[in-house]
Amino acid sequence: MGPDAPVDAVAREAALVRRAQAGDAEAYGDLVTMHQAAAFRVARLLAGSAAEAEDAAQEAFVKAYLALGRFRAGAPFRPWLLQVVGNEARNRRRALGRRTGLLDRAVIAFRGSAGAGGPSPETAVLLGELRDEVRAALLRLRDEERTIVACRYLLDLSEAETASALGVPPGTVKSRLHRAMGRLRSELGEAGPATEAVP
Amino acid sequence: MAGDERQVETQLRAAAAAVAWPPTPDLRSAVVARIARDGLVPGPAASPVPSGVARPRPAMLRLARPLAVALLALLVLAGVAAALGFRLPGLEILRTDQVPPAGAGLDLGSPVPLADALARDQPRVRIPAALPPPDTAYELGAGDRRIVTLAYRATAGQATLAGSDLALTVMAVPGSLDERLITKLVGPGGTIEPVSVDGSPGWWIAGAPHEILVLRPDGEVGVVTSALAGDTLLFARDGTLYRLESALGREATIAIAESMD
Repeated sequence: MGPDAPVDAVAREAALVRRAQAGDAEAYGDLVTMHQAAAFRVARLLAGSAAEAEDAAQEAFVKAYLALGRFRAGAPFRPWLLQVVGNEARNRRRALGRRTGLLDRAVIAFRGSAGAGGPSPETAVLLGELRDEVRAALLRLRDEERTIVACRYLLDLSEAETASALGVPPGTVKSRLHRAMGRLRSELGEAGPATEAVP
Repeated sequence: MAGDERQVETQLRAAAAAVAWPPTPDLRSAVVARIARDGLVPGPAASPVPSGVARPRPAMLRLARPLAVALLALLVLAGVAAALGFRLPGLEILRTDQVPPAGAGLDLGSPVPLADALARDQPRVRIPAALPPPDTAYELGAGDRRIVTLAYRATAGQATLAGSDLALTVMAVPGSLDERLITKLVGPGGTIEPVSVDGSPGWWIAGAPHEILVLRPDGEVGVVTSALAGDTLLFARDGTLYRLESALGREATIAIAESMD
């Protein structure tokens, strides 16, 4: 549930959280239903493939259930959940990263495409859905900037949720986003040269 | 500048609206089923969730938990030994009525009944008719990443795969192989030899640890690792990749593969 959720929806979510904390698996199932799309998309963005994202999101939901005792009553559930999802997805990505030298070489050989410094094949697939000029501009961003823009505008996460999902301080989200928007403004030809934010 | 930024935001949001995200899988069913199956309950003690920035702990505190676990284990063993009539340090004999599943501790997944492993179409699990039933079936992952491994314990006098009590594992993975990928995966000292498995192309990989890249049904490329590092026979049939990791030698392993049905 996002930051602008109606009051009754917030109350319903809080009630589901309380029931789930008491061990009601069906109530937790309702929470999963409410947030599985956002969780899966965040995992898709961070973990890589759709299959890896599905595993990461599922594992994150289970870990979040086990950790519900730590969840502070009355706090918004989605940012907390997305933090768990982000951690799980990044951990999986890192685990894969230990093999990426081999994997990347093989994939590049197989697909016949280089890509040093470019987006991963999975990100390229995602970006492939965007309009050409926007995609081209995003592809020229640094990976960390592209990820933040994707969280904010493709996933429609708040800055706080973006920070939770990516495991970075909110100030870092702000500064990277500012930089990225400056670059995009320049790339999309709407204004003059990009401005640099003070980190 | 603010107006320019809003224009960029508008362009991004318009572009984002056109993104066709992959359909969200039914996570609810899987999560609720897992909670029920494993008897999970919420509680901080059971939580492996990273809590953001870890607070540094003094060295004594870091050591306290393993020491407590070790002490507890010692006390339990002492209790078991006393109950069985043995005294510390004479714990040479531990009686047990249950032998661990074949391949236990090798990270092959969760043990499942063989009937469950055979019940699903993806991957298609084939049993080697040349062998007795497997000692244990394992399942790892879900959906088109589900991997089933059949584990065969070595009999007396049989060679074992390094670091295990197994002579053979038969892994079934949804997907297929591409020869260009296979040749990328064997390190120095390893060899790849084309072989025939019942008329189908296969590869015998020997002499070095390796990973396998599999072309998944969704077109993506996945990495399949193994807890073992034995000689391997690879072949694919009807959308399933089979990986036989074997201590039994090339000819015997091919014969086993040819008996899979």
